[in-house]
Amino acid sequence: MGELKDYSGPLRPNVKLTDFSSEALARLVVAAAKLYVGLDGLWYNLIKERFGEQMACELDRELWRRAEPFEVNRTREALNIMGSDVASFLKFCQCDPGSGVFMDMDVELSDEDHGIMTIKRCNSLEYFERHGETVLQKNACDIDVWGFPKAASRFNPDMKVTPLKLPPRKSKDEVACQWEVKIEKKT
Amino acid sequence: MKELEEYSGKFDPYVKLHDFSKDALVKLLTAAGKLYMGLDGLWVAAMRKKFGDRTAFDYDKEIWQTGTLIELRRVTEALNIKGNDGAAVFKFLQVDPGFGVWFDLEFDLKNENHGIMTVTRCNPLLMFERNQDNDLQKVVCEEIEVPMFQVVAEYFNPDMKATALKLPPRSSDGDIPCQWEFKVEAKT
Repeated sequence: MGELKDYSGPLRPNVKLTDFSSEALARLVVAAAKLYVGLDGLWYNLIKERFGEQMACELDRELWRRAEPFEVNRTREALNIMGSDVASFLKFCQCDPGSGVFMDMDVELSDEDHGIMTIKRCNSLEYFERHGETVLQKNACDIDVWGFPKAASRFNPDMKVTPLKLPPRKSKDEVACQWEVKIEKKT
Repeated sequence: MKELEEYSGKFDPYVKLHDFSKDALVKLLTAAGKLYMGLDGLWVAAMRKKFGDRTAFDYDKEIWQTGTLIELRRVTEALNIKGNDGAAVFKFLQVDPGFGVWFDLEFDLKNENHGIMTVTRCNPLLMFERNQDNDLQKVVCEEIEVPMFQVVAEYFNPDMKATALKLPPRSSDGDIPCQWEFKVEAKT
């Protein structure tokens, strides 16, 4: 029985996920990642509508403080990314359902203690720009300014993540954001 | 290039999801599915703390009215699941990151208009039972899942009905969590 490129054919009552092709599974991973991040957007908008933007921001920040360890640990465990160097953190970012899975990013490892991550295309930022959601954009990017360093510290307490560029953008040709990842050796 | 069974090896700046083996992708998909459902749990917990149980539960119900439709659209598009019969519903439920990807399910399609789905293992129910959170269990199973499965049925066919044949609480660990009938009712 050939592998399934999609699921347009007959029902297989005992189908296993591994019966699907890698491309089909990758599409499903992207769908799951967008559902994950999109669900937060649904909650944020509902709270904003009923209680105002300040309350939505406050609860959203609290939410991601609680969610961050799950996101890091589940992703690392799924793909066995267990190192403590910059490469390991960048590998996590590439496969993270909360970022790399559905964002267009470049990652560059200068040496084992130094890397640059550039998010060239960020679906969330494009949504904020399209809807004029400046407060929500700032809230989301502020969460990342806190979240990326926090996630990196789970790999190595001496790993620092610094934003080199953040939204807002002057034009759509600009990258969404850029981050430097560095391990600072203790002297 | 050999496919990646995991990502413990060398960093590849150009790695793509389809460079990974199917087993690795299934692990990542399961992780993403659990993160997705877990995020809702965290929101409900934050809302219960801030506004109390009833408000949190009512808001969660509202979230899933929209959330279920988005879930249906994204998953059916990803795997090109079309159709208006019981098979189409079951195909969606089998591969849904919010459900079939990490629940144990059994499907009995009796004919194109009638099928039974049995959930044989439900991680959220196990958590509710462990935490003795009967209030949240009742809300999720009765106030969210019952209308949600009807939304799923109607997405494929407006004449399809979803009926809970069995719901928690369970009388023992050997008991199934829940069982659902999907049936297209012919117009009279």
